[in-house]
Amino acid sequence: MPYVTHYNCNARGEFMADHPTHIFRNLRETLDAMESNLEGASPKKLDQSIEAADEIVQKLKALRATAASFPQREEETAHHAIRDASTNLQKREYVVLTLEELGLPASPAIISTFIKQRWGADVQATQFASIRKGDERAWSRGRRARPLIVPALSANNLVPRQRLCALSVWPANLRVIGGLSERVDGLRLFLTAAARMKKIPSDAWYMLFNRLAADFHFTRAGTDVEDMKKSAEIALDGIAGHDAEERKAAAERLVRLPERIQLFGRPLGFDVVAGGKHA
Amino acid sequence: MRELATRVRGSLPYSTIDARRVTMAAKNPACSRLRAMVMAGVDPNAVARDVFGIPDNSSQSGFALRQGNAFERAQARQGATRLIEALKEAGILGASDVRVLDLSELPGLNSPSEHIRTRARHQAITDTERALRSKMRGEATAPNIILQAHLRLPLGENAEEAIVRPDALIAKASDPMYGVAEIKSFASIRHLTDEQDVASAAAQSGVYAVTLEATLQRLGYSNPVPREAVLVFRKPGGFYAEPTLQRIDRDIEAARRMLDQRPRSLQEIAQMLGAGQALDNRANILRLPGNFVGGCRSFCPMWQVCLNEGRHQNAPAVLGNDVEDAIGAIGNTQRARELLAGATPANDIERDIQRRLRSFQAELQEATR
Repeated sequence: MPYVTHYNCNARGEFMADHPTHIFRNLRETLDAMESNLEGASPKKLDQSIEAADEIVQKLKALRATAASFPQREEETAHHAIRDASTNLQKREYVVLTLEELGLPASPAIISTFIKQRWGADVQATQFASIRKGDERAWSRGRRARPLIVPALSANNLVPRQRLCALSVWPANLRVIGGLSERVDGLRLFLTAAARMKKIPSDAWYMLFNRLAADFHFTRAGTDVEDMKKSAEIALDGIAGHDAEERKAAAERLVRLPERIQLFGRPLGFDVVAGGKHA
Repeated sequence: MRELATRVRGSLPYSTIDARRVTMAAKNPACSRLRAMVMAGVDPNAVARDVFGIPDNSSQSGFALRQGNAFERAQARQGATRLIEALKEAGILGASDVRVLDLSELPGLNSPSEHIRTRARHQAITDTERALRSKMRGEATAPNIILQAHLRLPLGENAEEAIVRPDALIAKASDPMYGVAEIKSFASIRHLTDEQDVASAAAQSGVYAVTLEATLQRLGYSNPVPREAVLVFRKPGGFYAEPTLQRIDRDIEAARRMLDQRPRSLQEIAQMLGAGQALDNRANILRLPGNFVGGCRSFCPMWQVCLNEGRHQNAPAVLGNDVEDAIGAIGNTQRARELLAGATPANDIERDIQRRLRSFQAELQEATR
């Protein structure tokens, strides 16, 4: 199966064999084949082929002119609608939107790149600490209505994780990170990216898909998206259950603690490992 | 303990003792001067700069530092995915050995506040020891990789404690104990990999292994630590890892030897310095016995001080390793010259050295004829 990109897919993410880029590839392959059998080709036959090729080039030019006058593709229009609706947002709002879209705790580096690709906005990874602190201060002043950007918490001792953001509205077991959680979340994100990349082939999901495929070494097995998805599902099946148990146990410990700790983690030197006992 | 260390440091500030510094001392275990600085928590670079006025050229290039940090971060991100996949491909980890404890994510480790940093370090030490106990009990939830484990290494009686942070501790679920790993952005080009890079990573791994062993003993376990370290270098052309196993027996022994050498306590160092004396003074530092060898040039910021001292004392080591090998036993170049000129040897050692020096001289004359 050819590699699926948004250049040769329709709005539903289906591969189009008769797409102009594919016609060109077929022409290229025919030309290559002719080059390798040049001895058997007569000048007359070659002249005929040149005339035929000229005709195809003219047709491609006409197609190009027609395409320029078409309305934009469905997914591009949708993409631009989101972009238009989200311009002039605050930086923290871009972060909230991205976390909502990803649905899992993510690192500032991933969120920052996603925002850049998806909305063209610039939220540097180095700015996340102050955005997060700002939300913590707002909560301290009594603001409770909006979803907050909070740190993911270590399942081990419920202290905040430095480079992993989550949303306060998520359930506790999604916000705690055990020994397998980052891998599990990475695999889930990869599968989401593979699915979304097909349905809405936006650059952000495509970027995420490629990045995670490289990290998990899925690209080594070939470039077939279905094979990669299968590998990710197998890897996920082996660890998702253990991860869920670990997260659930940590979440149970977490919900017994004061609200501040539930959201922003326990301060260092405040031990809650042994069943919520404070030392 | 802290009071004595503070007294020995004098006006010099405390500087955290890490594996790099312990490795430095392990490279020349017989040098009491360097060992005293390490035990008291004094930065040898600061001594060379502030006490002897030697320009400080110890800092790594910004590019090398950035590349090293970026490579380590790339291995650690998303649950150390890249590192795990590389270790699985190399057969060092099994397919299901993917549990990670990343202590570099602990808040406060890089805080500008010393108080917060200390608390974060204590937390990291507690978490590391908890993970080690879990492994020793054979629990299935024990991590397969501990990134930036924090291990305590006492450097002798009353001395400051080194906090050694192996880049990674790695073990399959079925392994009885973790092995140490060092992640470096050095290019891995199989048998052509720079020997110096391998040697420096192995030396650091030796210190990690000794520290891990000491920690286990303190926790009441006697399990041996694997004598092979995982060296994780960079595949050229990207930020992908290439792990290899490297035997570190010699590096472990070198680290042990350094820990066993005298002075073994800060009390001894204080006695050598004399009452009320500290390391912030040129004369006091020179009072501690140094041990200049040719290799000092490559790692010790104080080498120039010791070289000058050696010249004044006619020490053979200042003329290089070959000369030291040949006449080191008599400890003096002046006496060697006398023996070569025909002085009567005082004992068998001098007789042997005189015979060898004459043979070298004859060889030289033959070659230049």
